[in-house]
Amino acid sequence: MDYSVDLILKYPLINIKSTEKSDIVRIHGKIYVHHKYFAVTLHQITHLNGAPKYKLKSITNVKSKSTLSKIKNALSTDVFRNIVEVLDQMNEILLQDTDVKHLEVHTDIYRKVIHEYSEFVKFFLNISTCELKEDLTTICVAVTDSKPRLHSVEIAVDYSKKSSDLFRISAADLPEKDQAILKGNESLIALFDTFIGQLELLQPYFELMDTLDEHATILDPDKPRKSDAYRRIWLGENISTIITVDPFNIYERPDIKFLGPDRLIESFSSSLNENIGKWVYQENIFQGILDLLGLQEFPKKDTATNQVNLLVEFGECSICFCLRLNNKLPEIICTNQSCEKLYHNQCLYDWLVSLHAKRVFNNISGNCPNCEKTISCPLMN
Amino acid sequence: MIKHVRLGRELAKLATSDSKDICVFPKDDKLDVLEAQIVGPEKSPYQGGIFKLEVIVPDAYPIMPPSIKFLTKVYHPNIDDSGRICLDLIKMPPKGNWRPTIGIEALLIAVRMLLESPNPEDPLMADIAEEYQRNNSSFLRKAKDYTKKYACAVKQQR
Repeated sequence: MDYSVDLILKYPLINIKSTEKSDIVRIHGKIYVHHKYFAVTLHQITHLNGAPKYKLKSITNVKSKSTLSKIKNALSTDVFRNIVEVLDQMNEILLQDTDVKHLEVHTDIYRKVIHEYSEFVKFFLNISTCELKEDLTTICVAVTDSKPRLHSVEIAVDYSKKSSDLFRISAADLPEKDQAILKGNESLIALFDTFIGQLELLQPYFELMDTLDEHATILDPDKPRKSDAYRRIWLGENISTIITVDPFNIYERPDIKFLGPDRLIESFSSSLNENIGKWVYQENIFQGILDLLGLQEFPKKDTATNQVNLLVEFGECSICFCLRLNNKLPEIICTNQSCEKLYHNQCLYDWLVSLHAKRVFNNISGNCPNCEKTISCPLMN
Repeated sequence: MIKHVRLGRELAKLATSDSKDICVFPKDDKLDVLEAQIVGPEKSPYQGGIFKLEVIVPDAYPIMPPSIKFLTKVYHPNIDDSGRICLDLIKMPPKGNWRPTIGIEALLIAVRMLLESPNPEDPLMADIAEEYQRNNSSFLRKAKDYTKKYACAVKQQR
């Protein structure tokens, strides 16, 4: 048999057996397409004259119906000289199945990622922590700058093979405009180098924000991220200023706005108007901002007075927000267990009357102002 | 008069709180008229602006709701030329949804949320509402222009 060597070379897991019926040969085994095994069983029916016929008995792992019918079709219409040709044809059809293709293995990319990563770890000195995730899709790096300030960055590996840029920055705490600049790169070291370059460029910005955080009472943001290019700073009771800088043009005059009553804003805004023209390129931006505001330093808020008290304390009426009204404690409690708000009879009565709630005997009943469940109280004069 | 006690309490709380984007204080010494400022919400056409509002507190407060009005011009489907706001929370039931347990701060937070997400289904300015729905980019441009023109000046119009 001239094809048997071919069969062993190409499809070593295929076994040919004769059956009880002399004209039928059973072909059974596995074929290997796209890193996946397909167990097949075929019957070869020999005819006295002409080429043998092949019949598919079973095949595993094929999910797509169209692929299955394609194979059956090919077997019934095409003419094959031997089993190798049949298997070749099946192989061809399975190769086109997208489902099968999906199982592609990225060994080449894995190799490259591990290689790049090991080079990368050796290359940079100021990396404080560095981790390549087990599935080789992400690399998390924390790096210190010259200050030192800690910056963390997440690098994703692109397995789609759509472009040659294998690595790209997927998350970094940097001002927004910056992230667009950080495009993908095929080399991890080159990509990280651009990131370090950006950090270097933004040093004066980080410096200014750190100085503000250290020397001023910041109301907002609560926990500033490095991408937050503004600070709302406490200037006194009821007055604050919002300072917004452009991280990429840090030496430009920052945008300054005030929040508070006019009488308090007055002195600051007149100082700002007076000094606004004097803004020049200067190294010490922090001092520049103080000069604009006409301040020697930012006022410090006394943290002792900053006790957060609730608007309504336990035991107080939820309408007048007091404990005693005409020397009476709140008499009515909402019966809804998840509400249980307290009200003075007078307060609740006034509210229900204003809604024209219905009166029943000596009571007036309506909805609890807090939970909307039914509530009632005695009429008042 | 429960108004004064309650309002005093609310204002004391507001003055010490670090409420992120809202600021309220009495205008002059009377407690009847308050002035409020709202920082334009991020990612809205009002971003970067500071909007002034006037809060008039009636004697029957908190049984009756305060009336709130924008002093700064705003281009918005639910805010008209004279600064009136279409918001159910500042109207008495059954038309509106005012309840005496709502405070001034909560109302202003609601107003800020209205800036963030307009409600074109219940408009005060029908033409702006229509523009908001059909030609959003034009709406955004105009709203941004207004913000820049009226809400960003260092010295604001009185």
